[in-house]
Parts: sequence; C-alpha cells; structure tokens
Amino acid sequence: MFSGIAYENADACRFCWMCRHLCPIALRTGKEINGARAKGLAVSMMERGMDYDESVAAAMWECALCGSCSNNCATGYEPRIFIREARSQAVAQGIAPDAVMDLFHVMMRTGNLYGKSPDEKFAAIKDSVSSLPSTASVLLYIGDVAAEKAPELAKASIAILKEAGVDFTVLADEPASGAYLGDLIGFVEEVRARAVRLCARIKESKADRVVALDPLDARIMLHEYNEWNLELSADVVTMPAYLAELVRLKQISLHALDLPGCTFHDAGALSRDLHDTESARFVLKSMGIDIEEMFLNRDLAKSCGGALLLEYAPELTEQTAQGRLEDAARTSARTIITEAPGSYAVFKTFCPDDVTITDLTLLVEQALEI
Amino acid sequence: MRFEAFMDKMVQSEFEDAVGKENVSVSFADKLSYGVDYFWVSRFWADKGQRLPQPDFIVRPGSAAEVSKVLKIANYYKIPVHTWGGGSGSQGSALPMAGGIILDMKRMNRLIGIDENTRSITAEAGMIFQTLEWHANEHGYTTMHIPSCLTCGTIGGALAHRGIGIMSTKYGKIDDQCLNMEIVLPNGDIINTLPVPKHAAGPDLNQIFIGSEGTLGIITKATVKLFKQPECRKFGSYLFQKFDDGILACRDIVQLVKPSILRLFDPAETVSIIKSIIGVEQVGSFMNYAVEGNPDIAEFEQETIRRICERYGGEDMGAEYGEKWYENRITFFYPGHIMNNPQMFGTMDTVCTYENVLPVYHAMKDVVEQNFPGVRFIAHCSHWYDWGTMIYDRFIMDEPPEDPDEAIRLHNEIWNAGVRAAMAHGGVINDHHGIGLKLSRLMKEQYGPAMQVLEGLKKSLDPNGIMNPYKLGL
Repeated sequence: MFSGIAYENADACRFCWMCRHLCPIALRTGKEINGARAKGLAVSMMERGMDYDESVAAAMWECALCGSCSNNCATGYEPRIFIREARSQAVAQGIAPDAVMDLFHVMMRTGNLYGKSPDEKFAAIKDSVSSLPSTASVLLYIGDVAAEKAPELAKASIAILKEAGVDFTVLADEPASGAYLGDLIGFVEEVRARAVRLCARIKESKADRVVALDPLDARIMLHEYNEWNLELSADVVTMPAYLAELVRLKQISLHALDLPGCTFHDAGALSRDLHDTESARFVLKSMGIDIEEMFLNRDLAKSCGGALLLEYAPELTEQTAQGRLEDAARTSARTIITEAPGSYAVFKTFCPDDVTITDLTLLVEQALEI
Repeated sequence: MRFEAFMDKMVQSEFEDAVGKENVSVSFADKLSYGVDYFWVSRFWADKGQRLPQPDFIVRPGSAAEVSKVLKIANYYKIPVHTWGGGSGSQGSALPMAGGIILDMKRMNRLIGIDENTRSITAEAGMIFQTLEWHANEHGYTTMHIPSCLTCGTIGGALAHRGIGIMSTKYGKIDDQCLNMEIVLPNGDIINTLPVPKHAAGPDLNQIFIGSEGTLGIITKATVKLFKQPECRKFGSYLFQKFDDGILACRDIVQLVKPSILRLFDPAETVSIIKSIIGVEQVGSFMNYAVEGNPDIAEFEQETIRRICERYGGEDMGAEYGEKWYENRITFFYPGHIMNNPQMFGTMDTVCTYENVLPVYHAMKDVVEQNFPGVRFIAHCSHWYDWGTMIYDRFIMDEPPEDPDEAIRLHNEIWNAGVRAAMAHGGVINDHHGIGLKLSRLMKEQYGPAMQVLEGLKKSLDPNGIMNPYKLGL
C-alpha cells in the first residue's frame, strides 16, 4: 500500500515522540493524533492490516507539512513522506475529508489553488504585468497565493525588479508549479504533469533564472523537479535571496526606514527546507530595520499554518496562527514582517487589530531610492 | 461495566457538556493514537499488528474545573480514567488498559507566571516540559530538569512518575524541584498543596501525589524552581579499568562537589553505545561529567574531580568526550540510535545505597545473563545522591520470540528476575521511570506490609477504583 520509504519512515516515527514540542498544530490542539508519532503509528498499523478509516484519513490533513518534525530529527526521518502518501491513498480511496475533496476538484479543474482560470489569475495585478515582454532573462514566478491573497506583494516585487533594471517577465498564463497540489494530495502523477508543463513554459520564456515569490514554489522546483529528473532550464532562487543579491550587487539602493518595534517570521519552506534564514535578515538590516527576534526563530520558527491549510481548514489554521502570534506577542514588537505570501495571507487574516503585518517585498519597495 | 444501546451517547453528551463538544472524541483515529506508549509490550503488540488498547472516550479538559466535572461524571458511572500527558513513558502508565476515558491533558498548557523574586515558574500540567524550559530561557533562567523526554513529556508526566533529568546530581529530581501543585481529587475536589515544600505541617502532600501516576488524583498545575543559567559549564571524562573503581570515585566526588552531569558506564555499555555515539575506543568504564555555575567554583570542582579520579586510577580522557556526550545527549534516544523493535529491551533503573551498588549490579547482571540466553545486559550510573546512586540497567535481546504470548511471558520473566535480584540486595524497584503497568505486580513485594499505607490512600481517595486501574500496584 505504501512505498518502501514511507513504510520505513512511518515505522521509525511510530514509537518516537522526540519532535512533539515543535509541531505547531499538536501544540495548539493538544490532540495526540496531530503529532508525527501518531500519524506514523497509523500508517504502520495500516501496513500491518488495519483498514484505512475516514477519521485516520482526516488526521492526515491536520498537518501543515511545515517540516518542524523532520528538521528536528537527529536521524533524519521525514514524516512528510508518509503523510503525503497517506493523503494520496485517501483521495484514491475516496475517504478524504469533504473540504479536501472539494479543493482537490477545484485544483484539478483549474490548476489553481483558488479555482482561477489563467485569465483570472492575475486580475488584481493586471496593470503591473500587462506591459512585460514575453521572454526575458529572469522569470518572476508569482504563484497562486500571492496572485490571489497578497497581490500587493506581487506588485511590489514587480516594482522592485523594474527599479533594479532587471530584464524580467511574468508568465501571463502562469501554470501551477504543483507545490500546493503536491501538498494536498501527495506527489502523484497529476502533480508531476503540472511540473512538466511549467518547465516547458519556463523554457519558452528563455529565462535562465526563476525568482520564486512563494518559497513553496521554489522548494518544489529545487527539490522535487530535480528528483523527478525534469528539465528545468533555469536556476531557481527565492525572493529573499534575490533581494539580498540585488542589494549586495548594488542593483538596488535602499534608504533606511523608520520602523521600530518589528519582529520577523521565518517561513518554514525557506528556513527548514531551503536552509536560508539570513537573506531576509540581511535585507532588513540594509534598510536599517532592527528586528526583535521571537524566541523560536529561524529553523525553529513555528509555522502559522500556511495558505493551503487556510483553504481547507480555516479554523485549524486560525488556531495554528494564534500560536505564532502569541510568540510575537511576547516580544515588544507590534509589527510582524513576513517573507512569504502564505504567511502574509494567514497573518493578515487572523492578526489582532493592534498588530501590523507587512512583508519584506513591501518594505523593500518602500525603501527603494528612486 | 457495559453500556447498553444508546447509553454511551448519553455519557458522551455529559462529557461534551463538561469540556465542549470539540474536546470529546470517540473517533477511531483518536483512539488509535493512545494505544502505544514507550512500554516495550505495547510497542511489540503494535509491531505485530495486534488490536491496541483503546479508550471509549477521549476527553480533553481545558481547566482544573473541567477536570473536576469529568471526574465527577466518571465516578458516577464508574468509568476508568487514564490520564495522558505526553504518552512517552516507558512503564505503560498511561495506556488505557481498562478502556474508559483517556483524559488528554495537553490542552492545559498555559504559562501561569514567572516569579523572578522566588525563582519559580508556574504552569498548567499539560505543558510539554520543553515549552516550560523555553519560557524559562526567555527570561534567562532554566528549570534544570533536562530529561531525555524533555521534548515529549509534560510537566504532569514528569511529576506523576518522579522524573529526573541529566542535571539531577546538582539540581535534583522533579520531586526536589517542585514547590507546589494543584490537584483534582477523584471526587472532583480541587486542592492545592502547601505553598512551600519544606514545612512542619504534617506529611508532605507534594510527595503523596508526586509519583502517584494518576491513581490518586490528577495534577493540573505546578510550580517548579528556576535557576539562573550557569556562567560556565566545563566538561571532562575519565576511563576506569574497573566499574567498581568508578563507583568509588563518583561516590567520593559527590561528597565534596556537585557536578551537574556525572555518568559512569559499565564496560559493556562503554564498548557498545558509548563507542558508537561518541567514539571512545578503549575498554573499561567510561565516565563523563560537567561542572557549572561560577567559574572559580567550577574550576575548583574540576580540580577536585581530577584528584579523586587519579586516586582510583582513572585515565584523564579530556574535555572533548564530555562535550561530545553533552552534544549528543538527546541523539541517543532517536530511532536508529536506541534499541528498537524487533529487539526486546527494558530499562531496570534501580536505586540503592553505596553499600549495595555493586551487589545489586552484579546480582542483576548475573541473573539476567545466566538465565536468559541471548540477552545482553548493560548499565550506567547517571544520577548520584549523597547516599547512593541509580543503576540504569538495560537488557537487550536481539531476536525475541515471534509468538506474542511467548515474548510477553519471557519479557516479564526477565523483568521479574532482574528486579527481584535488585530488591534482594537492597535495591529499590525504580529510580525515575515509575511503576505503571510494567512493574505493578512487584509493588507488594517491594513494599511488604508498608503497601497498606498506599492502599489506604487509594481506598480513601478513589473508593470506586476508577483512577488508572492496574497501575502502581493499586
């Protein structure tokens, strides 16, 4: 039923509790099934003949796939492998929760997390992308989340690249990277097919570099595309890393912003999966912004839930986000700076009135010396 | 008791009324997740794909008042109550062996406050201990309760099993570190122990409920000591030719100075786990330590340790191995580094006075190795008291019987033999893992007529016998 590697990881995790303290969802709900250990136990029992029950399937989606557990594992086990496969199995068996299946159908029909057609996807940033060339050396990959939930981040990114004089474009019909579908239903063939399509479009753009605004898109391009031996004709870089590069190379010049009382939220895909915790901090520093770190920061930063969880489990996302907002509240900061559209969208949705949410791209746009 | 027809729904709705509908579950997934703890038999049972022990209801209270309501309902219907914190215990204490209720405490994870004047921290008992430690760290303090289950056990779990951390020789066990607690009695009354742990107002209520493993009440809140982060921490290590020499050296050390870490490994563990994790190649008994706090005092302590170890023929192995052990202190417990199924294994941590350390160690080693072919025995001493030490004896069998009946029988025979050998030579049944289901049957042998004191408490506080049945010999 499960692949050998999923089985091996589940069997390792089923009797191990060592990452319990880091699971942002288990910490908030207090539910035993929410930890990686219990999910591993369920998979291992299924491999030993237990039926795959709907409640067990539902539990597999009570996970943000944030990687806190695997990042902590001294042996290097990866619960996300068996959780993704369990999601694939549940969808195949028709026992996934209704909210997941609804989203699945939307994504299969449109390819977009929010059910937007290619024509609709960039409606909110139409003016910013309309005059861009069809080919360029840099491709800015906006992603579903920024396009729909945080268009101001997309606009800011475009403005920054223009100011930097970068020869860049955005795919007018930007296909999905597969990142969100892969998280929703596992890395099945449908996901790979989307990846193949995006690789083809990237090639047509003639870009030798992709700048991914959403680190989840960067992660799948850098990790899974490589594992799947896809022909990705361009290097992939995340937006914080690219901004740091523009600053270092003096392609953009930033003036100091008077912004006291800030803290910074690390995106898990960047800090844990792509191991970049310093690019954003460097850029913030170059704008004269002193951040007051939350106690758990960098690769220990708790996930806020993320954009996918927000779509199929908004209440659980709110609980999870509150965990991170409480971390922020224990600092004296009243502004939280994000570095990913997903975090920005989630915090914007759930932050209290006395907290301001902003993003690295917005601040850089503000600090550009034009 | 068996509920007929829709009676279970009636009871469930009472729990939902008490703690909120969203905090009561009868789902299969939730039931499954409580079917295994670190107890080898439960792991073996799962590994063989057997049906795991399951509760009938999972109830997740959010306050002591809600715990009280749940216990009143449970008492009325005489439903067993199994309290579950992290579920990472090795003794089967939290397993729902009688069905009934799993009372998962992890929603009760709020920080109540830090008292920097007193140097104490108060939190709800369902908080993961690492979270408590982080709260302390945010303010420049530490609880100095650093067990291997730091990241997975709860405050309540540590208290309910008389837990211990790697720094215990200097900073004490959880029962030394706890100032006071809030407890919900089985009848639903919410009580508090006295504000301070040292007094002359009769027997110490703290010490009645610490270690009670959910059989006498439910710990819902606790205040524990805080310590300033040490200014320095210095490491060292020695190799003794004989385990016996190391025991004497460590005994002498703790009479004069208080290392935070002091660990002495027998030759079998030195050439196995210590070799594989930190790379010590030599044969003998490896010892590592840490001293900490004020740098001047730490330096004096280090020099004292050096002189004592020299007296007993200890070879100075330098600071590096001590540092390496500290860096890997948690690594030992991750899959791939620790014993795991299909192996059969157990930790018979016993505790005794210095007079009895070697007799207990040798008696246990002999009885296990000589009576059970294919079973290895390794040990270390890592928690030192003025009067004696803990012996962390572990047995390992690489190829246990496949048949569940045979394997469980053999497992229990090894435990019976080892623990009885310890008790016969002055050892005490357990130092810091607790009793649980694993050792429940041996409690009467340990206590003799004194067991009636514990039984009297049980009968008085829990007359319906609903609190964690089959555990702690009660």
